[in-house]
Amino acid sequence: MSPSSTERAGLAIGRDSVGCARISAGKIRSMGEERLPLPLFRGAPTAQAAAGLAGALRALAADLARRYVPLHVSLPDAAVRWATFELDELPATRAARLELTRFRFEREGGAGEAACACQPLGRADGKPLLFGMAMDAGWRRCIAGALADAGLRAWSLNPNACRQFNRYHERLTQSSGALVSLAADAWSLWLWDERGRPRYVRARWRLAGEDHAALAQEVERSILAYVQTGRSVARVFVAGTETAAMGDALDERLREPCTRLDAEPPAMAAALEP
Amino acid sequence: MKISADFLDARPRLARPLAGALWSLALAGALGAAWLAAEVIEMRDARPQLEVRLARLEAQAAGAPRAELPPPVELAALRERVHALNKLSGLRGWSTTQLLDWLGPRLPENVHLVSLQHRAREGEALLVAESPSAEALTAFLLRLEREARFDEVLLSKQGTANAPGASAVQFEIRVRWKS
Repeated sequence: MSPSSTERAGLAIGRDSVGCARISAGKIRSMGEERLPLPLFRGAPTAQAAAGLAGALRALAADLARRYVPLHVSLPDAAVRWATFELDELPATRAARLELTRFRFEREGGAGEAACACQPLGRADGKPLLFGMAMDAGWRRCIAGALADAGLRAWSLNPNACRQFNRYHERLTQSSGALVSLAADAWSLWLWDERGRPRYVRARWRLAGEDHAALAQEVERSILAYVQTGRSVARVFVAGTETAAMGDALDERLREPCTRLDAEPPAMAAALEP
Repeated sequence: MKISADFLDARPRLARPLAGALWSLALAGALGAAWLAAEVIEMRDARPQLEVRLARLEAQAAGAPRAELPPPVELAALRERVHALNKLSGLRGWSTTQLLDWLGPRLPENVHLVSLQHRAREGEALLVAESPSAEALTAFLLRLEREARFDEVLLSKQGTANAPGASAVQFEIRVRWKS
């Protein structure tokens, strides 16, 4: 192990490929991508899928194995379910909050055991808000196992949209708004209130033949549905890959032009925003 | 609000305090090493001077006349004689200072110690106490009697003091220590 105070790496585990970006002293050192022999996040995880992922990780990030380098791993947004729960009372302990998040996600549907994460967001209209994320526990174990097989230790494991939201947080949360985050395999729409708290997140896998206009239409519908609940969306932002094309498609549908953020692939976003 | 929720398993609860403790330990070790290094440098500087001093003392010791000790039998006989003398002159019971220290807090307010004859070899003392009140003297006598280290407390004489214009009672008390 050799310590490196300035080096950081980001891994983006996608459905069909894995991307890796390294930055050192604030500069991009390398970027790479490896296709997976079997797609991930389809059905239940298999040993072959795990072996394929471990192989891709070894090919991409062998130099990071067993080294003291901060490694942040991103997941596709569509592999995660999201919700902001309005509760009557916030459980006092972290374990109880996680248990409640798991219960709510399981009650709202979803097959199999869920791995959850949550974060209190303060109060709104007198009710405590709890932001929750859930993913299939089997896939989470599969990813953890593949990382361990490749000798890698993740410092964080988060969906891509979380990192995009955190990265541009100060700029985004000046008012209420929406962030459309695009990756090669998935897209997501984040909507937050005037105090910058995520209130609604929608994520989907990208479909074959689905163009930016179709995505923009889907985004517009979701925003309209959200606004009709009495909330506001002051500005719309676009981040991730294909920012320019997606921005143009959104501009055609929205009253005001959207703001285009840097078009960084998820691996780079992971390296830049732990 | 930035999102800090994470799918990684939570870190063990003691990880942060343990890391803090290890850092503190490492810092203490580094400070200790620095102090030891400074000490080594200081001792290295003082070494030539100490070596010179040692050589001088060794030379003095080598040059000093040697007085032969008496044979072991004679030394043993001398030790026995000293022991016997010490035994003869040995005190029994308390020393005079010890007795006075002990008596101080036990004397009632209106009782005064007029005289003290301490016969250390016999292990006894003769006290003469005086007070305007016979009850106070009696209380003092009772206190002496309660002391477990005394073998005998005896009121040997009772009288009055002949001070002009005052009448006081005097107790002469003999105290003997347990052997």
